[in-house]
Amino acid sequence: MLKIHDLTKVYGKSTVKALDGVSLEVEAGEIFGFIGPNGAGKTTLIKVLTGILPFNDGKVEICGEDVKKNPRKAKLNVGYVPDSHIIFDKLTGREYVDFMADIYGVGIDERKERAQKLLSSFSLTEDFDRPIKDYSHGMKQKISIIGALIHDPKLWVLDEPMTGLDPQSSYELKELMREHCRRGNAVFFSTHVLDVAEKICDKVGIILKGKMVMTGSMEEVREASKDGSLEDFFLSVAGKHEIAGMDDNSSAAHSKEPAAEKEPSVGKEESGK
Amino acid sequence: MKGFATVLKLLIKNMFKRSKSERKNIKIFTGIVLAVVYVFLMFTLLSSVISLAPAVKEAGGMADIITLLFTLAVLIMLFFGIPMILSWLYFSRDTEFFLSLPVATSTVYFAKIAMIYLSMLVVEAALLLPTLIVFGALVGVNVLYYFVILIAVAFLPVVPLVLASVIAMPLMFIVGAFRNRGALSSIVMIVLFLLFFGGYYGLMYALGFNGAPGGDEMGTDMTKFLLENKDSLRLMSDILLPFSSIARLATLTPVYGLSVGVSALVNIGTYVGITAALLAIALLASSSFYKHSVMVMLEGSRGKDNKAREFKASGGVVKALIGKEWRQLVRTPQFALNSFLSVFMPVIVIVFMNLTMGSSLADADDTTTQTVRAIMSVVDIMVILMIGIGMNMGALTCITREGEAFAFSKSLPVDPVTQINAKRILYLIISYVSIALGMIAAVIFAPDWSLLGGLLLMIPYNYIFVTLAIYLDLTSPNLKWTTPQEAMKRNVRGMVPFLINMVISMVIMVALLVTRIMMLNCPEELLLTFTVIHYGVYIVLIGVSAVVAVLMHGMLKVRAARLYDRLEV
Repeated sequence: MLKIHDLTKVYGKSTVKALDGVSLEVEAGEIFGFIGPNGAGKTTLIKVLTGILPFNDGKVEICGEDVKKNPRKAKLNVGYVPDSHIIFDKLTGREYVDFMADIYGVGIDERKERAQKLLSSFSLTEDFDRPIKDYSHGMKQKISIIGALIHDPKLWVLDEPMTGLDPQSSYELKELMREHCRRGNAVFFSTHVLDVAEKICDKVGIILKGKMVMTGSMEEVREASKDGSLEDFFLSVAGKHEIAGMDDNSSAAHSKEPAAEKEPSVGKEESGK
Repeated sequence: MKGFATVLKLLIKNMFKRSKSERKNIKIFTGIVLAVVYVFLMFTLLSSVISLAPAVKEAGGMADIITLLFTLAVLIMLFFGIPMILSWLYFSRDTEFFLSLPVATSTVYFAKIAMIYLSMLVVEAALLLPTLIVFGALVGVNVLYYFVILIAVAFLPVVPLVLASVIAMPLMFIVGAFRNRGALSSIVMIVLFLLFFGGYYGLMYALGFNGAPGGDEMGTDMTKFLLENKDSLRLMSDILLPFSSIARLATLTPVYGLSVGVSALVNIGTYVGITAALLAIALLASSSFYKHSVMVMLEGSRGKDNKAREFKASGGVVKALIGKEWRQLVRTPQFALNSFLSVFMPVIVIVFMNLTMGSSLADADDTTTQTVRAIMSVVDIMVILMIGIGMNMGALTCITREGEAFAFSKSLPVDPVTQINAKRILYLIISYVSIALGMIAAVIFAPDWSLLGGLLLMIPYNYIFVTLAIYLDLTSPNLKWTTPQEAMKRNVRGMVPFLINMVISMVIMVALLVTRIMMLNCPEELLLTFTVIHYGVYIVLIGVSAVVAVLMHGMLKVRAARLYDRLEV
């Protein structure tokens, strides 16, 4: 479903590699959790695979389509939920979802059916015809998710999706992710919330200063950690690399993301990207 | 171009859609303001063509006059087109969103260009069509004229759009190379504005030197003017292709000694050919540049890696707040352009107004020169009051511009009065700079003692205006905006102090002018009396302003905290 091979990304004429030889694979039916501290390169990788940012070396394939060679075909298979709000906020929720459906060529019946199901999952039906600018933070996140799923993408990419969602919606989102994968699709999401990753991911990848330091299934993570938790494993891996690279700025992520913190933020939701 | 219509529809909806929650009185007020502006512009245009029509009927040259009208419209569209292209194409916040969609970058580019085209077309058609129809009816033209002007008006925005796209490319290339693009873009936009107005006044000035008749002469002997300048107008039209081609087609004016029929074909060919070629070349070039530029914007600066900067020693809370306000202002081009126009505009207007007046006084006697200079100094004072003080958009929108980030200001452990005070200091400084620059220009070009009175008046008057502007914005700011344009332009409250100041400035100008003219023209035995009256007006105005300034200061101090706390994001 998603194949990334030896991906390197350098911003502008910077000497710093924001992504340094990243490789990973996500199969159909898998939920892949992408974790790392602030400024590690998570958003950069997501922007590269959604075609927002160009990259320098390597290869990214989505459903067999090369993102560089056939960006439009690759993007047709992706549903993307960014970490920022929808900017066309004078539109109503319905108008926004209609726009997304038009862009991805979704028929009227299909969009009605999918929208109804998603709206009901997120309890957003009553607010669907209100302007997005009047929505709360969480509601904006929900309408963004509905817009991304309206064409039933094969690969669903989410950047920090839990931020701003209430517990009920957070639960619904996790259920939707599982349901999406059960139907043979894949989910790729970045998060700081290790509990979420631990509960729903089939695979996780840890990125530090632009380098993938580990990818593997949750079983492998549990086996490798002392107490069987992702948190323990993450801290052992991240901590080791942080200490090793403390004086090494060569692989720090680009300034588009805040500089890497000495201590990764774990165990709580953060929006401070 | 798959997805073009869908993207264009989205852009149109997002631009023109009004929230149902928007208050009805605000909608009505906005409508009234727009209607007043439109009526004023139409009155100016229609009265011009009504006064021109009889002369054109007698002397001919209708195609040349239409060419000039088209050129004027194109220049105005070009002036507004460049900032539109910069903000819609290069500084837009939707770039990442569109890049993530399965839509080609060129499709998004063309949809945005179409959006700008439509915006230009609506304004241009609303102003030009009635003017051209009335002009045609008064001069008495054939039916073809009305059909051709429709086509001409429909395609007129092509040229300014193309020119604006081309001008925007090197601008963006320069801006893209710098780290602080917001501030640099602000400077570029202000320079463009200065060039436009400088160019406009320069042209007027040059026309004066070239012996073109002034306002009165044009009004009284237009036919003579048109006949005498027929060759010059024709030459100008020959240069102003393709506008002259369509104007000549509309009026069935023969060209190059050809018959009317063949001339019409030549004019159609020239118009279509030039317009299409310009469009194709410029759009292809700028479409490619757009892709490159978007990437540069997303990638960050093409310069060096971020340098670590040192922390600065604390300058205190107020200084920190002023610094934050200043940076927010200068790093958003729309904010900067609107806020700093008040600093530069009075200087431009005063310099060129005095230059134009000076050239017309070349042969005047000393008494006339002295009288005109004295009157000009009062007019200069009014220009500074009206523009330098009254257009201080920074103060008029100081709370609104914070938008949803106002929540952050509210979270600060700083009392509202201090926060408001920091804003007031900054905007006082900005408008005192406007006053200083305007005064320097006025002293250089129209030295007169009354300027000193004007300066003393402006010190408390500026304080009143800034305080009133902040107070009114504080009472009902529009914190729910998504684009800086909305914060600056769709802010009805911001218009109130501006309009109040406009009226007060006019009243002050009339009071000063009347007493000054009386002083200049009175019999010698009454000179002392009228001198006392004239300078007495200054003293009264300064005194009243000082008292009101103190009262306004007190009012804001007492109510700032309550108004501030009442605001919700």
